Amino acid sequence: MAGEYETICEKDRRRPTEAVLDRIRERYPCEAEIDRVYTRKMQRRLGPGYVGVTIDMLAKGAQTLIESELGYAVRLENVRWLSGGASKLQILFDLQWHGLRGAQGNEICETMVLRMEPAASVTESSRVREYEVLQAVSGTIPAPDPFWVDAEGTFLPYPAMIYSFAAGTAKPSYDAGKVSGLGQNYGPDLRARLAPHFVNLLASLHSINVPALPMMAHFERPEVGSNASIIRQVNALRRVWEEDRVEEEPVMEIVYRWLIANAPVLDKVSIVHGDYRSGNFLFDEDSGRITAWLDWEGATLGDRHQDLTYAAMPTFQHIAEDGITPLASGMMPIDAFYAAYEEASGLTVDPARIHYFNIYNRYLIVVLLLGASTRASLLSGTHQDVLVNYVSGLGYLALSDLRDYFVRGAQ
Amino acid sequence: MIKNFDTQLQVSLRALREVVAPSLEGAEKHVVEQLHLAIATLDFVKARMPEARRYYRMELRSYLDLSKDALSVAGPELADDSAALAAIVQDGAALLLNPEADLPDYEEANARIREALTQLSGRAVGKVCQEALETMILQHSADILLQARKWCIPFGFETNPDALPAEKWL
Repeated sequence: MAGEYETICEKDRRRPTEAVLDRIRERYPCEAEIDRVYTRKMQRRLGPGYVGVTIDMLAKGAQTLIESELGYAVRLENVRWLSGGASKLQILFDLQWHGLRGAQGNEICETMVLRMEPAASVTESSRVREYEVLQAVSGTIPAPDPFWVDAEGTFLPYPAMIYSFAAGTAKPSYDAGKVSGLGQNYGPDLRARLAPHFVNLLASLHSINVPALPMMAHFERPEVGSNASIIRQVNALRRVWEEDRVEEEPVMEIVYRWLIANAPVLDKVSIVHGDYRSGNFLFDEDSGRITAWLDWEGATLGDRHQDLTYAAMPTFQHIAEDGITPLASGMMPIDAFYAAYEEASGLTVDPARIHYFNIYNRYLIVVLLLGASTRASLLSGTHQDVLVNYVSGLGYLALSDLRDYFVRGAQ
Repeated sequence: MIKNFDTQLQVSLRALREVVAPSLEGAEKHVVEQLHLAIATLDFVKARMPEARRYYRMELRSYLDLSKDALSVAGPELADDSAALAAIVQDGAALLLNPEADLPDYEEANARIREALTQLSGRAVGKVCQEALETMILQHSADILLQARKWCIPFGFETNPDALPAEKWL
């Protein structure tokens, strides 16, 4: 609750008891599925930590999951690692199967991706929600088709899902050295072709009629005219900060209180991607078309301004050829981005909500970098601690940016 | 000298760069990526390890300054929490005078001060001193965070590292 402050100690973070978890849950209430995921994260800390898995183990688990769902035998061929991203383990394979209707059909071959979480993650998230949101956007937004989900890690070492492989590249061939789309330079020609698609897809995503989506069962439905859902989101972030931080940062509590006290009411419920930015979509370099949006694990039902401001975060900007103009996600100047979005969606871009979510997203990034990433690598919780730890090196840049933006807004 | 950490890191980095990395041509992409990140991480350690003690002492001094100002603002209204912070400040000041103090001692002192400051800020909600205390924390944090960013320059994320202020720990 805003205005109060109570810490759990480092011992509690490493070896949480049920009483500690109850206390955190009560203090920072969030959606039931998010609570389940965070509770599981903490309970894993009582276990052995992340144990390396072989590609054969993953292939076997994937095959068992698929056969259990289909009721007939399948073959996985050409199994290989799929690199990219900082949070999930992924393998690629060619599935020899007969389709969803049963073994009687012709055998077909489809390339698929197994996406599994490690013991700890930069972004602790729900595979079920990721699966559900992919179903919800199917046909509207180019994205992988979800096939099967192992929500509790019944078949695989940790929760996982299987979806179709999407072709395309995340980085242009002439600027492939960047990490995960940070400061991505698409260049003037490619940018001119990608940017309209980037904006239009965001407009389409936010225009999906949410109440008509029964498949999003693990998302709580926000109420228009209320700020309760935003407060739940802020509390979820505060909870991660409480559970994961390695050091306290006094600025963070001041910002948290402001986010609670100033949470805006929702004027429309949208599917929010939560990580809509350069580096999180695949495209065809020749045609300049976006072929798939990836990384839906942070998706929520909420306020469109969350995605709008996230795409324009300094971390994901690239400076245009004039040397001074920041381009949102390397696409277009921020004002032009918002104007194009308004035109494409017919929805308004509200400056007050833009300001709020500019602070919200900066707070989120600090929580992920100085909280979740640092903790995950400290506890040896992932398959790539060295990457997760390295990325946390951005943390003070992000916190400094949060502090500066917050102070400017208060003046 | 064999005991010299810098030499140990130098020879390890050279082996990783000049022998191991070239031999991984054609290896899985994530394997090569992790090697390069490991090299970059060791580069950070090599660059900063000789300065670590000075950095932690500077950081502690900065938080002591912030805490003293915070106590002057919140002390009259929040006696108990201010007394707790004042005791931690006293310990921190003593640590700076202790020639035997080592890195973990500074880290622990910094951590305690930051927790106590945040606690004080939380307790100040609704009190007369709230706004002044928050303003003070935000003001002092500007410089503290710029120094933290300066410290992290070897990670390579700063787009214009020369624009940051000079190192205060040197």
